[in-house]
Amino acid sequence: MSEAWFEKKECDTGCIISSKCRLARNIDGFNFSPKLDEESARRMIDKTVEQIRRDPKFAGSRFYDFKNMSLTQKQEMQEQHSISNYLVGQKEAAGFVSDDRSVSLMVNEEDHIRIQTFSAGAHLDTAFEEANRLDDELGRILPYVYSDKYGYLTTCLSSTGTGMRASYFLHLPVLALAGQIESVKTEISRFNVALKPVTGEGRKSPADVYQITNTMTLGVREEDVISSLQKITAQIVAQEQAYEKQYFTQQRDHAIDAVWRCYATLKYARMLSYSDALVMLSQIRLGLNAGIIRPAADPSGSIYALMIQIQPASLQTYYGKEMIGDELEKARALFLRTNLPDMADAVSAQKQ
Amino acid sequence: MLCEKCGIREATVHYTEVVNGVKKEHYLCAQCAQEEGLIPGLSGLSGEDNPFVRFLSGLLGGSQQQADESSDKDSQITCPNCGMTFGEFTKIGKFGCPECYRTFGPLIENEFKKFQADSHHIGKKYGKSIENQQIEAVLGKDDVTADGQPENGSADGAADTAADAETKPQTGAAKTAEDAGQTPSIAEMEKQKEEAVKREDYMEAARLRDAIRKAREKNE
Repeated sequence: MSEAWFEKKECDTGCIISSKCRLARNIDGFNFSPKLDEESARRMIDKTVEQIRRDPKFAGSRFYDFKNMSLTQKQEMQEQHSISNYLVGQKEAAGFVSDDRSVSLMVNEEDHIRIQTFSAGAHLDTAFEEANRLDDELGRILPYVYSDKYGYLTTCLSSTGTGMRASYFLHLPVLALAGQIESVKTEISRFNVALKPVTGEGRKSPADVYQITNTMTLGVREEDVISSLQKITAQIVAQEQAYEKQYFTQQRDHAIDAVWRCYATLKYARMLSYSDALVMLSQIRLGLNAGIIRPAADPSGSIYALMIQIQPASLQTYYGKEMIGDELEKARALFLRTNLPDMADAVSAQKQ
Repeated sequence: MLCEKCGIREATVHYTEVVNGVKKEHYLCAQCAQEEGLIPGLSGLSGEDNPFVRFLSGLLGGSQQQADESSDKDSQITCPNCGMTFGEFTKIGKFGCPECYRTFGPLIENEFKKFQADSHHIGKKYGKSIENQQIEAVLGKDDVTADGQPENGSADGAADTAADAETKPQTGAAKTAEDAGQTPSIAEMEKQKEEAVKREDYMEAARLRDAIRKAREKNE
C-alpha cells in the first residue's frame, strides 16, 4: 500500500494538519436511514456498489464490505479516518478507499452515500475538487435525490443543500494550554463555523487537534463556504502563532523542558495510555514547529501518523494479535520507542 | 439530579415529551439521551453540535405554550411515503425519505432560514430534480421534455441544445416579456416554477423549467 496521506510531511508543518471535504448524497427509490430497515439497506448497498463496479472508471478501486470484515478491521479504518464512527456502528455497509486513504466512499452511512476526501496540509481546494470530481462521476451512474428548492436531499436537516462539510484539522497546543479554545469557538460561531476535538474522547483533545467545519449548507455556494473557512482558519492560525511566540519567549526554559521531557518519556516508557501518548506527541509536534527539536535524520512518516497508529485497532493490526488493557499500553510504548524518529537539539544548532 | 434512566450519572438533558396531548418531563444524562436517540449520531456534526436538533427538540419541549397549542396538531402530520410523523421528525431532526421534505418542508421554512443562509439551494446543481420527476409523472415524459433532452440524470446537462429549446411553445405572457427584452432572471423563474408546482400547474412548471435550462445555457 502506498504512503497514506497522514504520513506525509505536510501533516507536520504549521498549525494545519490536513484538509477534508465530505459530500452527503442519497439514492432515489430508498428511504433515508431513520426509515431504512436492514433488508432494504442491503438492497440499497448491493445495487449501488454493483452500479459503481460496472463503471470502468472505478475498475481499480478497492471495495470493502462489512459482511467480510472483523470489528478490528472496521475500527482500524475508522482510526485512519477512512470511515466514520457512524459507519462502524452500522451492521450493513460497504464502499471503497483509495490506496493512500485520501479518497473514501461510504455506502449506508447516515446518508446512503458519503464521499470523503483528505489532503495533507492546507489544501482544502484540492480536497474539494477531488470530492466534486468523484461526485460528478457517481452522479452520472447513480440516481441522486435532488430538489430544485432544497438541493441535495439529506437525512439530516443540517446537511440539506450542498451536503458539504469542508474542514481543516488544526493543531492548537498553545491556544489549548492558555484555555482559549472555548473563546475561539464562541468567536467563530458567528461566522457559521464550528470547532470540535478530533483525537481522544470528549470535549477536550489530549493531542490538541481540532476540526473546524462549516455549519451551513443551504443557501450557500460551495466555493464561498470554502473561501470563508479559509479566511477564518487563517485568523485562528495567526492567533495560535501569536500565543506560541509569547509562550516560547516568556516561558522559554519551561517550554523547551516540556518538549524534551515528553520526548524522553516517549523514547523510554514501557507502558503508555492513549491519551498520555497524545499529550506527549502534541508537544513533539509543537517542538518541531517551534524549532526546539529537529529530526536527527530524514524521517519517514509524520507525528500525526503516530497519533493515528497508536490507537487500539491499529496497534492490534500492526502486531497481529488481540490486545487489551496493560498489554495494549505495553504495545503502544514499544511502537513509539521504535517508530518515533530520533530528535536532535535544534536550539543549540541555531546558536552554533 | 441524577439521570432517570441509569440513576448513576448527573442529568444534563431535560426534555418534555408530548404524547397524545399528555406532557411528560424527562431528565437524562448525555449518554442515556444519546441511547434514546435524543442526541442522534456520533459522526460529523450530526450530534450534539447540531443546532437544528437542539432547536427542533425545543419546538416540542422548550416552549410549553407551543407544545400545547401547535405541536399537538402538527406532530400528527405524517409523511405519506415513510410514515414519519412531524413529532418524530422534530425529536430526531432527521428526514425519513425525500417525500418528508415535501410534507414537513413548509412547516419548518422559518427554521431553515434561522439556521441556514436561506431556505433555497444555490450550490451545485444536479440533472434531474424531484420537482421535474413530479412534472413528468403528471404530464408524461414526452409532453414536458420538449427540447428532446434525454432525461438521464446527467449532472452536466451536456445533451441540451439551445436550438431544440426554441421549439418549445411558450405562453403569451412570457413570450411578450422575452420579446420586449425583459427576460426574467433565473432566480425569478425558479421561484415561479416552484409556485407553479405548488398550485399543480405542471404545464407552466415544465415551460419554466425549459426556459431556465435555456437561460443557463446562454449564461454558460
